[in-house]
Amino acid sequence: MLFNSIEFAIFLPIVFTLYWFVANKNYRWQNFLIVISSFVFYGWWDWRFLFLMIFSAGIDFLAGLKIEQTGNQKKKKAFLFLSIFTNLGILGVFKYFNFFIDNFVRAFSFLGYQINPVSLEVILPVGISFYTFQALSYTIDVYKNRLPAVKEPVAYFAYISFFPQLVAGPIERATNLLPQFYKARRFDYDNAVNGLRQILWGLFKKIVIADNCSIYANEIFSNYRHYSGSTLLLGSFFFAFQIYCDFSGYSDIAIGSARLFGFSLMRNFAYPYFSRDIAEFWRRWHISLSTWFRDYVYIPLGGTKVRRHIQIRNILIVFLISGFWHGASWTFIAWGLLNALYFLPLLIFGKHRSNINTAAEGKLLPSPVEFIQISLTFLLTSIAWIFFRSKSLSDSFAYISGIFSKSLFTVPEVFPKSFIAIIMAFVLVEWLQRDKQHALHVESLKIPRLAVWGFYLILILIIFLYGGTQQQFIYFQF
Amino acid sequence: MKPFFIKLFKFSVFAVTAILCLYALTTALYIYKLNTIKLGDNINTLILGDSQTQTAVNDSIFTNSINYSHNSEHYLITYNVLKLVVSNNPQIRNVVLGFSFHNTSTFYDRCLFNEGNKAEGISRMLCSRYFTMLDNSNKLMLIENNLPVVLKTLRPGVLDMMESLVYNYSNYQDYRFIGRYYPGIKRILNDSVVKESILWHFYTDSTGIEMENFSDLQSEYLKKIISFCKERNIKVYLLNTPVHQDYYKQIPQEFISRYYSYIKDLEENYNVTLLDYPDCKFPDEYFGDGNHLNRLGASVFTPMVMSRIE
Repeated sequence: MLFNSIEFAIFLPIVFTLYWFVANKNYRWQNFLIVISSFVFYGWWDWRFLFLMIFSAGIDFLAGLKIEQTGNQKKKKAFLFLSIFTNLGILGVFKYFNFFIDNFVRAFSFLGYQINPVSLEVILPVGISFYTFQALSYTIDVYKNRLPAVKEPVAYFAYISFFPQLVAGPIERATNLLPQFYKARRFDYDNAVNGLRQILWGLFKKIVIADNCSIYANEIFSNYRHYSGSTLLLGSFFFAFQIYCDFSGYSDIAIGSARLFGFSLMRNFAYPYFSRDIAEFWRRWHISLSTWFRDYVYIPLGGTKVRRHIQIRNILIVFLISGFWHGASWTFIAWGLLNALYFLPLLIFGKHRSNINTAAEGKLLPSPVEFIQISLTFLLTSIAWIFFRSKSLSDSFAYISGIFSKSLFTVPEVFPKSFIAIIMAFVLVEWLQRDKQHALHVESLKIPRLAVWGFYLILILIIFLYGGTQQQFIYFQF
Repeated sequence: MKPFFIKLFKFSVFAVTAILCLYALTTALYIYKLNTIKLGDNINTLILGDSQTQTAVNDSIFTNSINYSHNSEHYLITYNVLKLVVSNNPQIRNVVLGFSFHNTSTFYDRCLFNEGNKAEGISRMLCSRYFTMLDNSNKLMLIENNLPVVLKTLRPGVLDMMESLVYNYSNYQDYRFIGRYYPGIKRILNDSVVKESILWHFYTDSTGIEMENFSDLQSEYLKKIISFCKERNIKVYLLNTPVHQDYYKQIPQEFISRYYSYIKDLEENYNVTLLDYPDCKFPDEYFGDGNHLNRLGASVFTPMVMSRIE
């Protein structure tokens, strides 16, 4: 079920009403309702893959219990590996099997051997990379004694399948989300209103900005050989906005929906395009995944407590895995590598934590230096997105070389003025609210209610009128 | 919990009311704008119809005329366009109305009401562009027969209205529901293109087995158009535009004979003149595809039509 669909617009109020009016006597009933509604939500797309999710979550649940129960360290490790292999095994089969086989065959053909490949005709289950990582976080945390094992299967399945963040995150840490399933939840008016605002902003980002950007980005990326450098550069900007608004829009709707049910999910995006360097960008982009890799890959590899060349190796590993997590293709690996190359000079010169605070904090406008830094970071990020969006590495390189041609200084052939004006207005609102959790987050309103409602109404009207053709969320494929 | 629901309810009432008011206001302004457009006093001939007249008659060559033909236009829609334009422009003396063989088929009915194969795309286009300007009985007819598409196309329809108000259109042709002369179709004339058009116009499926029926609705609105013109002393010319021989030969004979017997009835009872050119054997280079003239074809054909108008 898509967040930007009529089905979800009906589903959410029904579950909300049942949750607070029927199942409100006991949090266990509420957990049970969450599990059922999450299964409906997920099964709406393809009910067969529910069994896959139940199977892998079931293994993790049992592995967690066994890890806690046994005093033997070797057995603990064995159960941890069982969980890791089950999760990564399923992920490997559904997501990476064909990639490895194809490359294996190519490598052998290169050496002069011909092999008849076996490939799997499988559909990638929606959200598999997200719930797999969330499940892994649980067993690893139980193994590390950061968290007691869950005894109630319903609470555990509610944690794994919680529908707002099931298919595209935020990838929750068990230590943050699981305890929330053990507490009685009280309806909080301010939190619910804030949640609705966040949902509205998420829908605006997805339906108005991302879906319309996709029209232009698709056109330009599909026919990049026929467009000027300036158009190609604009195309990469369109894709940069598309992917940001698509994914952060999804996260906003997820976090806002969770608020309606009394849950607090971790922040996933913190205005990444206002970053002043790539290190800051990665602290603000897909935070739940970046911190997952930090906690479960980078730190176990030694973190910052190792020599510089080991740190460099570790950074390369993390970025490459991050690229590969996004998809079984060399373009994603190249995207990860390029980001690592952007990041490493900052690490080497000790500048990777120079920009911790918000850009132009306490000021309306950035300083000229900040403005240049933000623009340059956005440009570098947009160039990297070309690898992410292109079908092949050769397409990516051809696209980039197309940008840096004489025609870069011509007027773009594709230039939708009114839509670009909407993007600019969107950037302005995000800039003004960059120190808030989301762009519609307001602590205390001193503006008349009618004006605020008028603003919401304008957003709703723009969503209705400028909504592009309904597109699936990009991150569903990961 | 209660304050939350109360506030949500209040906001919903506010939003729905505001949206309905905005919709009503936009529609009223739009209709007002449409009803106040005046053509030049010298314009006395209207060219109406679907893509056949749209591509065949160049109104920059045809003096004192204007071409408002729009592709895939049903006569129900043409009737509404005609009423709108003539009510503000009493100087109109002639109407040249496209009337090709396929205009008698149920193909355009299916497009209008989104029935069966191939219909949805055109149905959406027609609903989004024309719905607001139709008279109430036709609006109701569309709602009764094609509600899902009417609802789906509300949004582009509203956008069109808003755009026309923002840009303050002062010419009918600026509105998306009104067509204009379109200089040729960038397609290659070959067997498959011709076959595709034949299947499109005369058969309900892509295999060419099940033929379209004769459309009572098209006939009803064609007669309404003629009667409307007669009441206002406007002479009606039905124009059967040139088609390529390869296309002509593949038109089911049933349609051709039915067409001519129908036209005989119209000529006798409604005093219309048929300008009949399907078999005029224009060379290939005059055609965009099997049944549309290109720019060159239109430049030759337009004076031929012009010379027949009294």
